[in-house]
Parts: sequence; structure tokens; C-alpha cells
Amino acid sequence: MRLRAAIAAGLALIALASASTFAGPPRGATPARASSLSALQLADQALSSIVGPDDEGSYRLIDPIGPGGVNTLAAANEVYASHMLGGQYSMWGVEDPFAQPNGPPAQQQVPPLPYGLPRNRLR
Amino acid sequence: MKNWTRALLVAVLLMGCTAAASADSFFEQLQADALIGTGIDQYHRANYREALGTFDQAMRLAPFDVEARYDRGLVLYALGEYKDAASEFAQCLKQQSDFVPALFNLGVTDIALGDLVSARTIFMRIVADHPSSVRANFDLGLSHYLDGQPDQAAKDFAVAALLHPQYVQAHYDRALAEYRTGNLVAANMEANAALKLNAGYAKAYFLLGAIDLRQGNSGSARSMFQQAQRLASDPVLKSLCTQIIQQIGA
Repeated sequence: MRLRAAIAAGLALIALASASTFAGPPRGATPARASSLSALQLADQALSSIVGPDDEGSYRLIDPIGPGGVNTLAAANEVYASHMLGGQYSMWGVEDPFAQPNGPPAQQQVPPLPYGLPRNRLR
Repeated sequence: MKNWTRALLVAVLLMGCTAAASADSFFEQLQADALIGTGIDQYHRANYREALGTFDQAMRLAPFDVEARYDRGLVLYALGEYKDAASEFAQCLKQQSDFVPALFNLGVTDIALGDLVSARTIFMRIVADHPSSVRANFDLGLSHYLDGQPDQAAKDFAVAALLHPQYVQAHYDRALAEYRTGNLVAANMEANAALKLNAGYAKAYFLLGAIDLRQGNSGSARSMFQQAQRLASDPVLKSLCTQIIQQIGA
């Protein structure tokens, strides 16, 4: 995930801020010492790292503008839209962010299906 | 008469030069547009280094082409060169202050750089003008969450999820933010909403397990962590689930 560095820094702050609510992992706790932590401490530690917040994945930026991309107006509409819009260039054969993944749920990858189908594909 | 002829000749020469210059500029722009098209294609195919070279060429031909600069910013972001990407998006805004896609992408890049105050300012500005922008509300939530303000983040994610109820990440991130504020009921509800949209969302099961642990429901917690373990594709997450299940069982 491209935001890992930012997420790690932010979550360190959250861990400090929420220390009064939740007893966080002991200072300096490392995976090697994980077995000495309680289940809840392990879970909280994970929620501050690899199970942290998700973003829009590959579609976190607005699409490229120009030939083979979108036009300026469509790009602005991606920003303003009340529904997730992205990957407008899928007609060029690029991965469709809204396509259903193949296989049963157990086979699905993390991160999950991004945003659901955009309105124009629900028709 | 002589003066007239001279003046006419000078005028014709000047017009010729201007026409030649504008023809040059026209063909350079045409060439730059072709390069931008190639660069975008390379970007779509994730050939980011090649794309960067192509956009560099385009910008040598058309240094003030704001779209080429914007696309170059996208490529730099994809390469993890966030400072340079931010600088390109900022330059786009200097050239064209109402270039909203560049403003939005600058906010996303600021998050990657850890400049959460700047990111928040950008997304708040977009939300102020366009309150129903699902992306701006979502990224405002991320900025708040990463800046240690889960209560505010929960509100932002709630708006994003309300605007686009199928937006799985908005539900999950709201659940996480609610968990951080101690609102376990809301966290539980949102994690379940995320699972309704994607039954294979391992992280949502993991969060439900943590909520159960906090509520003292170790049996249910165990089952949630087992689900997360089964669904997780990340070996680190799988291993963590195994450790937690062992701890619960002990």
C-alpha cells in the first residue's frame, strides 16, 4: 500500500491519543515478543498497522488527462461526484475498478472490491 | 513610392516569420499531444519509468502544457516520488488555479507525505464548495484519522458512506474510527455493513473479532479471527490471526 508510511505515522499518533481509552501494546513491543501479549493487545497492535484504514487502492488519484485519458471536465467530475468514479479509461483495456472479482469469496484478495458499481453500470 | 514598397516588404516578411513561428508551435504542440497520449498509455500499463521519460519529452516541447505536467505528477506519484509529484500538482495550480483534479491529487499526495494539515485543508476546501463529493469526504476522513482525530474521521466516513452506500472502504474505515473512539456498537454495525458488501473482507472480520474481545465475547471473537485467517491473503495477517486464536484458546 502506497500510504503505508503516512498510515504508520498517523496511527502512531492515534495510539497515543487513544491510550486513555484502550490499553495499547507495551512500548517497544515487537512481533518477536508477540506471544507475551494478550489477544486484545495483539489485535490492537494489528489494527494500528496492517489492519489499518483502507484507501481507494489504485484509484486514489484522479485519472490522467489528455489523449487516451479523460478530459478536464470529466476529471473535475470525478472529484465532485457523489458516487465513486475512477478508472474511466477502462475502455482502453485497463483493469476495471468496479468489476466483480472472480472466484468464490474465499478466493478474493485484500484489499476488497473497491467501491461497488458506478451508476452507469447498474442499468 | 519606394517607402511604400519597403514597408510592404517588411510587413510581408514579418507576417511570414510569425506564420512560420506559429506553424512551428502548432507542430510542436501536435507532437507534444502525441507524446502525452503515449505517456498515458504507458501509465495505464504501469510502465511508469517509460511514461516519465515520455512526459519529460512532451514538456520539453510544450513546457506550459498544464495537462502534461498534471500527468507527469501522476507518474511521479506512482513511482513513489511524492515530493516531486506534489511540486508538479502545485505548479499546475499556479498555472491554473481552478484546476480541481490537480488540487485533489495534491491533497492525496500530501497524505502520502504525511502533511496531514495541508491535506485536510485541501479536502475541506473541496467539501466546502462541493459537499456531496464522496472522494473529498472520504479523504478528509483519512486525513483526520491519520492525524489522530478518529471522532472527526468517523463523521467524514459516515458522509462518504451515506453518499455512496456501496463504498466498502468507507464503511470499514468508519468502523475502525468508531472503534478508536470507543463506540463499539457503531463499529460493529459498520464492519457488518462492509461485510454485507464484500463477504471476503478479512480485515472486517478481524475488526469484529477485536470488538468481540473488548465486549468479552471470546467465543464469537475466536470465530471472527478464524474467518479473517481463512480469508486473508496477507501471510502476516494470517499469522497474527493464528497467534490471537491461540491466545484466546489459552
